[in-house]
Order: sequence, then C-alpha cells, then structure tokens
Amino acid sequence: MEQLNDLFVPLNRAQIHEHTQMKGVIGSAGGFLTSPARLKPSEIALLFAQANRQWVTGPYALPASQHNTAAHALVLSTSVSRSPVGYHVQLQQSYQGIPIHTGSATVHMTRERSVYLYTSDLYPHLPSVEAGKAGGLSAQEALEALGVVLPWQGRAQLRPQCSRVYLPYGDALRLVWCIDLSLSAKTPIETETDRSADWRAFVDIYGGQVLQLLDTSLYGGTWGRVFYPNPVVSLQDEELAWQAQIPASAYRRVRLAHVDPSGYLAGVYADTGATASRVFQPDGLFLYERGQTGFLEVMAYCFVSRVMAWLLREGWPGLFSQPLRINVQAPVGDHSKFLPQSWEMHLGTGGVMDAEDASIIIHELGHAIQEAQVKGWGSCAQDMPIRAMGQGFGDWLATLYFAKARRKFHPTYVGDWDARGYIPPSHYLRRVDMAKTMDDWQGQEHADGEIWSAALWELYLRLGGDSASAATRREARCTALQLVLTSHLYLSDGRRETLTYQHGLAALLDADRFTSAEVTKPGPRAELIRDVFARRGIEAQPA
Amino acid sequence: MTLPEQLIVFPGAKIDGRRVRVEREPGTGQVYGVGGFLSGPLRGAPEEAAYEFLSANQRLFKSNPDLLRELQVEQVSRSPAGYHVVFQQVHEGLPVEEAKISVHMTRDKRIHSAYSRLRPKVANLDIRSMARDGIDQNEAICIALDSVKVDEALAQAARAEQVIVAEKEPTVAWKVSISTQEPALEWIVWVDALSGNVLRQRQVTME
Repeated sequence: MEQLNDLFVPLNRAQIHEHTQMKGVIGSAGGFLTSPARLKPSEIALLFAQANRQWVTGPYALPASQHNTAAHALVLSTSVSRSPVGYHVQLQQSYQGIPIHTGSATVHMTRERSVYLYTSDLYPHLPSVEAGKAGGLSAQEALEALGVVLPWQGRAQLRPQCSRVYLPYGDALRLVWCIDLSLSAKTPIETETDRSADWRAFVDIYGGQVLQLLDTSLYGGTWGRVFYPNPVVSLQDEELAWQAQIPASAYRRVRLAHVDPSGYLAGVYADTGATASRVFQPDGLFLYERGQTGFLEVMAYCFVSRVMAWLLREGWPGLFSQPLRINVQAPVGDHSKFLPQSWEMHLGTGGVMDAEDASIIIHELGHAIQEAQVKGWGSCAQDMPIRAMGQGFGDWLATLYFAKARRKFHPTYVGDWDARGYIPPSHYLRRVDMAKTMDDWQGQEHADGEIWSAALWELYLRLGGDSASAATRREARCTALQLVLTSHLYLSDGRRETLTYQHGLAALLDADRFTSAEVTKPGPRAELIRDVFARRGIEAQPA
Repeated sequence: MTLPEQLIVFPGAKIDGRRVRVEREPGTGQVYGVGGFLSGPLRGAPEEAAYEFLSANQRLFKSNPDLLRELQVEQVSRSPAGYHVVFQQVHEGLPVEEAKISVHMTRDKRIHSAYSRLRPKVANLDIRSMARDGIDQNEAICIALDSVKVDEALAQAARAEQVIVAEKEPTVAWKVSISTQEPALEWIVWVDALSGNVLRQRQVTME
C-alpha cells in the first residue's frame, strides 16, 4: 500500500500531453519523479498504473496482473527494455483476455527506478462487439477469406499463425483474426502480393472482410523504396523515356540504416533537412514511388548512408563529423552541387530529377568525402586540375559502388537515367572508360575529370575488376578504394592551385608503397599504376 | 613526388645529411616537398611525432622556432598507410592562407614525407600594425558582395574573418564567406583589410 502511495502522481502535478491521433486522450505524462522503488521494473510499472488508474487507464479496470480476470486490463507484455537512462516497461491493453492491437502504454523509469514518464497508445473506448457473440468465422474460414485478396495457398513456408485480437478500426474496436503468413514468391511477379514476404492480415471475424494487410518484412527498422541505381539499369532499357510509367520491377525495397527516431530521414551520415516540406513517417516506412517528393529523399538518404557505411566497412571511420544536409529539390536547374561551407548537397531538377539517379547522388557525395579528407579540396580557381580530379573521383566512386549491379549493363556510365531527361535525350552524362589522354585537356573540370576517372577505372579493372571471379572483383574493388582514398591524404597541404595529375599519380604510388607490408621498397602495384596512368599521358617523375 | 626504389632509412627524426628527394617551388626555389626516406619510429601522438620531425628539420623548410610555435594542428587522419598530419601556419592569431604543412608517417610513426607551403617571411611581421586603420568587417562584407555581384538572397549571413594572404607581399585581409540561396553558390572573397581592394575571389561550390 505504501508503495502505491509512493507511485501516486496527482494529475495536476504532471505535464500532460494529448495523444497525437486521439483527441481528448492522454498521450504522455511527465514532469514528475517518483521515489526510487526496490522492486522489479515490471512490478513498478504495474503498480504505477494501478496507483494512477484514474488518469492512466481511463475506463480500464485495475488491479492489473498477468493473470487478471477483469474484463478490461493492462497486462505486462514481454517488453522490458533497458537503456542508458534506465528501464522502459511496456504494458499491453486487453479486453476479456484478448489483446487490443497497438494498445499499449510504457512506463519509463530511471536507473534508480523512479518513474519519470508515462507514454500511452491505449485505446479509450470499449469494443462494440464482444468475443462471445455467435456467428463468427473460424480461423480456417478466415484463411479462406484471406486467400481471395492474398493468394497464399501453395506458398506458405510455415503454418499460418492465427490469433484473435481487437483491432482499432475507424472509431471502433473490431474483433478480428490476426493471421501471420510467411510466403514464398509467386512467379512471375506481377503485383506487390506476389513477392516473397511475411504478411500480417486482419480479417473481421463477423464480416469476413480483410481489414488490413501489412508486409511485416518491413517492420523492425526503417524501410524505403529506391531505384538501384536507376531504372535504365534495373530494367536494362537503353531507350527508356523519362516520361515513361516506371514498372514496380524497377524498384527495390531497402532497409534504411542509421535513421534516428525523429520520423524524418535524418541519421549519422545524411539528413534531408535542407529539403522544403520534407516527409515525416513516424512508422519508419518511407515507401514512395517516383513523382513523390519522399522518393527523392529516400534515394538521397539511402545512397549517402550506404556509401558511407561501405567506406566504414573498408576501414574509413569518422569521415563525416556531421550528417550531410540534403536538398533533393534544389532550385538549381538540372545541376547538382556540393556546398562545402554549408556542408550541403543540392540535387537539381530537370526532366529526370537528379535524385532519381543514384550515380548523380554518389558523384556529389564524392566531393563531400574529399572535403572531409582534405579541408578545402576544391577551394581554388575553377577548372584547376585538383578540381578536375575531384570530378573524376566522384564519377569513379559512383561506378565502383555499383560495379556489381551494373556489371552486365552500362558498367561505366554515370547519369544514364538523368541523361534521358536531357534535350535531346542522351544515354549518359559521362563515362569512366573514355579514351581521353592529357592531350585532350580542355581546361573544363568535368571534361578533364574523365581522364582521371578513366585511369582510376582502368586501375580497378587491372587489379582484377574485370575478372570472371566474383571474389577477385571484390578484392580489386576493395584495393582500388583503399589506394585512391589513401592517396587523397598525400594531397593535403595548401598547394591547391599547383597540384596536377602528376601529383595525384605520385600520391597513388605513395599510397601503394605505404599500405604494403614492406615500405622500404616500391609498392607491389607500382609498375601497374605507372603503366595505367602513362597510357593517359600522366607520367611519374623519374625515380 | 616520385619515390626512389629504396628509401634512405635513418634512426631518429633528423634527416642527417644523406641525400633525400627534394622538390622545390618553381618561383622561389623554396623546398616544398621531401621524401625518399624513412625516419626512426617516433614517440607520442602522430601530431607530436610530426612536430618533432619539423623541429629537427626546420632549416630544410626555412622554418624557425617562432614559426613552429605558431603552427596549429588542423587535421590528423588515419589511413591504411599510417597517419597524415596537417598543420596550419598562424601568425599573431591570424591564419596564413594556404600556408600548411603536411607530414606523413607509417603506422609505427616513421616519417616518410612532408609537404610545406609555410611562409617563413610572415613570421617576422607586425601584423597588428599592418591592419590598423583599415576597413572593418561590415565594410569588407559589402565590398565582397559587390565583387561577386550577388543580387540573390543569401542562404545565410555572410561571414568575415581576418587572415594573412601571403602571395608576393604579405597582406592582412578579410576572408569573406558568402552563400547564396538561388542559385545555391558559395564564394570566398579576400578583401585587403587596409585598402579594401579585392585580392581574389573563388567560387568553391563543386558540381
């Protein structure tokens, strides 16, 4: 009894916030701190709910316990989690022993077990239909009803799991069968429901309608839908028109890593906060299609994060000290930019929005990576060799990242979807396999960057990137990346204006030597590197 | 700089008179790069090892204790090759533009190359008196905005900081950073802090 008193919080002492989706219902209460209690966190949570039942549970009766027989109850669910702050205990809402789907509340307490916050998604009304009413579907009948909407027969990898729950639906609670299915793909894949996936369906026990059908493969993280890298490549359609209806098969569903819990696309490496009217998805399901702003944000977030995670795996941690802010609809015409002072990426518009093409995103990311490695990488006059080297690196990084995805189609193209929106349409923005040499120097950084990117691409191929063996190709990709990223650090003094491609080559030779085990001798690939660059007219100074 | 087949190896931090590879600036003949050697493994953090190397070889870069004392660590990077330390030259609290020195070392902190754009002459200047009676920050920003002909809205307020520009004759300058909204562009403009003349301007956006 004393413990109940200790956990009692008068309503007028708590800061109450209304639920974001249910008017007049408590969503959270905080601004208090109960006395520390020497009980298990789960026991404290149940006692807290009981002590404050007037405002915690609304119409739901307490005392609550796991074996509560009362009609309405809060019972302890399996979720008791620990964080650096303390403990977080989830309580499940139920009615006559049947759980209410998404009806839960969480009691948050410090490490000393003082309750400081209560958050609630409890449903405030009683069900209109009770479980005992006659005439409902059996589980087998519900499965048959579901088969009309989701052809599951012959595809179930596990026995379907059926349980009864109350589902908040409109303003009412409906008694439903909750059916979990794990299905293999139905080929040919023509619709979303033909894919292999885990599904959860809610079938109304008294009406037989499928009220909700969810792809639960998506839960447990943040998900998005992207082009990988773009529809020209995924459909292998050289002539794809930018105005064309893009079929579902051009999209790939991907897990978005490192997203913070804000509901926006913001994380460790990328933050779409520079985009006007950015999308908000508190459920973490950023599943958009072309034409929706959210799709562009997902593309940019996804590929910046993925490339940075790849570099991390390859031994390059901590490159970014802050997330790269991204504007996916920048009013810059059909151009994209990296702004080093603002630490922002601006992706342009045009027939094809730049953010619809992952190679454009990664090209711009390349500039940010170089700036992170060498402060002021491009802070010299336009079109100087060091800036051209940056353009070449961005193109090379974009093709190297997609070396596997592009292996059989446009392996050396950059912007092959973006270019479909040009007037007239083109097949690529640039390529990394041009036959250019230093004799073709134009004094224009993008054009001259093609000399550098072609040399880097050939280096990758000769390291094994053109091998029939996937393992050799992987190794070549890893080695090439190590050499190139390491070489940038040898170009880190103040001489931006005077740096040439020859310095870039010397830096690669240094990188080769000093990443090897025997540094007193030339690097193991020195001859190969010299040869590749000599073919472009870039000669190392005599030793 | 292309390295020789075999590196010259010596035990400590000082390049001890044996022939190492040196690259000089075309105009001034000043040494800007040394390589082709491998120092002994040095102690301490990478920046401490780099500093020890620079102290031991200050004559090579026409450096001196005063100049070295004013170096500030700008960046220490780790790579599969080892460590890379970049120092920024500062004089009387003002950074000297593009005057940096990078020191590169193996994983066991054996120095193998360094590239310097230090400006030794700057270390003797009385900078404060040079900037006296000059233009203020707001005037510098107005001049810079005029020079890049920015009519568009700024993405953020222009910022100015005092620096030393050491091209031919060292000058105190306002380094003005400008970010425009539409089109999104970023500029750096160096304005002479005494005369108000624009020394140079750079558009630093990468496309």
